[in-house]
Amino acid sequence: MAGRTGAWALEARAIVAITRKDLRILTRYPLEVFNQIGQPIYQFVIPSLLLGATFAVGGRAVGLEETAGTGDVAGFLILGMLVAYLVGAAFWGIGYSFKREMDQATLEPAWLTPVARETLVLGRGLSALVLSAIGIVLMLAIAVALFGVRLSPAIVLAVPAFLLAALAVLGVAFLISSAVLLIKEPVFWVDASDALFAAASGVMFPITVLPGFLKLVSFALPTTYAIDLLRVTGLGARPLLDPVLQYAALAMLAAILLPLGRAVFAWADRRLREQGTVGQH
Amino acid sequence: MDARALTKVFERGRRTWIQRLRREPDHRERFVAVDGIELRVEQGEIFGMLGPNGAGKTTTMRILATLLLPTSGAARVLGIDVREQPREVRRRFGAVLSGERSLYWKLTARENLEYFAALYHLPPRRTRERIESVLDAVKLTDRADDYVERYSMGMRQRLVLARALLPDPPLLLLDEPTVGLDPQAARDMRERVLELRSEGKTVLLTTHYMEEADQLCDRVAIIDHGRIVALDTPTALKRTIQAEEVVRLEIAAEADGVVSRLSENAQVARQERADGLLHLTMHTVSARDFVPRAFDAARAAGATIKHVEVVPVTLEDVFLALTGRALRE
Repeated sequence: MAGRTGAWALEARAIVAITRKDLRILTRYPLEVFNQIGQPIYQFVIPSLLLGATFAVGGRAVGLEETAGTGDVAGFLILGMLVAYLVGAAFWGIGYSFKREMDQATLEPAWLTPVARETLVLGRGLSALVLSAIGIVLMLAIAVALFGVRLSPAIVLAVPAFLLAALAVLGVAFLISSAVLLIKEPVFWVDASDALFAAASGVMFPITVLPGFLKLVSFALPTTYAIDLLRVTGLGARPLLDPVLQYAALAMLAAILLPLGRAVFAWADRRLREQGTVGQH
Repeated sequence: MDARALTKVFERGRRTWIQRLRREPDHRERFVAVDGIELRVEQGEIFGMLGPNGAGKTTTMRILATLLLPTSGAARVLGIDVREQPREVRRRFGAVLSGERSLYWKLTARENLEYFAALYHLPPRRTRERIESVLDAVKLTDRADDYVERYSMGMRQRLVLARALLPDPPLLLLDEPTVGLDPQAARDMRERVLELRSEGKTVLLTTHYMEEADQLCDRVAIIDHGRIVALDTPTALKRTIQAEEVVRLEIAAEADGVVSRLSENAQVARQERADGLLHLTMHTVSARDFVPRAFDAARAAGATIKHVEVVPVTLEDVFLALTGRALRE
């Protein structure tokens, strides 16, 4: 038992080392830090908030109020973006980072160490989360200071939903990482699936406006429920489904996606060993 | 470490999921990279795999390093099966496989080593001491806090070796450790490899430099087309060609019979025409006796010897005798 605890401690230390390494490298490219944290805000959040303000009547988005039960377009977008940061961390911060390491020829030496393969995913996850957290804080500050966003304290009730969604998205990160390791040109697939994931989760709009088939996709995504529960508790929006059902769906998706992602990642590792492609770049 | 009937076959081209589901015949081209390799590396020796590019040395090395699954056969590293317990195997070796690019150039040497120390599961209390020790071993202590991007290629290769030494492994796997290095850096690296043996470590290295194999290795496996064609000490391998010296001749205006006349006095290891000259490589017991006879034979055949070079027998000559080709072809 003590051995197992020691092994966990060593893996945890490796996770921290990966995060420290990623952040150290990033700080040596100051503009890249600004780009990674600021780009979603200045390219996406601010223009969207301004667009929302353009269509607001007396500060309320009447159409949104009709479809989603809240007229606070800024709060609606900010809470969607909060989960979009999580999705971006999974797709780019974890999944696509394996491609960058392959291109740099630094993945193979990591693959030659006794560290658990999953630790390499979790380490990247932690560094991506740190960056996302900075981005989220900055985004919230801008939203509150410039766009008057006010969230209800009841939003803390949605924290369990956010955490369950994070577990499920970690499963997705394992799936994306597997694909990135095996596909030669993954950038298109990562970009397209990230965009589809964010759109179908209702980051920018209520999923009720999606065509029928995409609505089905939405209900299969954990992030749909996390965003909705955040909006219900933080803005008083109308829930898509009974919140209890949404929690049940979130728990079920986390219970499916995380083991599934881990199993697929183990399979991808075996495929890499069959093909010998971990060192190819 | 030992390998038994180790084989690796790569498939070229793609087989789609639809083809798999329809169970269509698999028409992909198959390339046998490693073809039944058998070897055993003893503890504390430097064992070399020598062969031209594409011979199967690196593929064998990557199987032993758990990066590649063999198609068939078995390999054990310190008694542990590479297929069944890859993580356990990885705890027991350090490797220099992917060259000097495989470092984080925007980190310092010390930061690189701190990162890999955690991945090698070095306990925190030992990390600092091990980092200082390996930096000292590869003579990089005074540059430890410089970014790797400011290093020369030789320094980066030394840092890659330092990384492999971090867990203080009993076994080192070195794939072409001196390739691309300048002569001084290559010499430094070879000296360091010899020091590793004196520290009791086992070293398995691949090279296509015959001098390197000759100078470093206790035993050498000569590999060609995925097979071991000879395996012994460098001295014993050189003895197999039954010659003490090699004479290289360049002959102009070859007349009929010059080669057959020369072969009466020495063994013709290789002949080729280039630049209007006949280039011959002869294996002989005594160049002192053979060279005058060679001039006589050429004169008698109406040919002129333009250039004579006498060199000692090397592993290159052994490879030539075994395969009919030069190592660099």
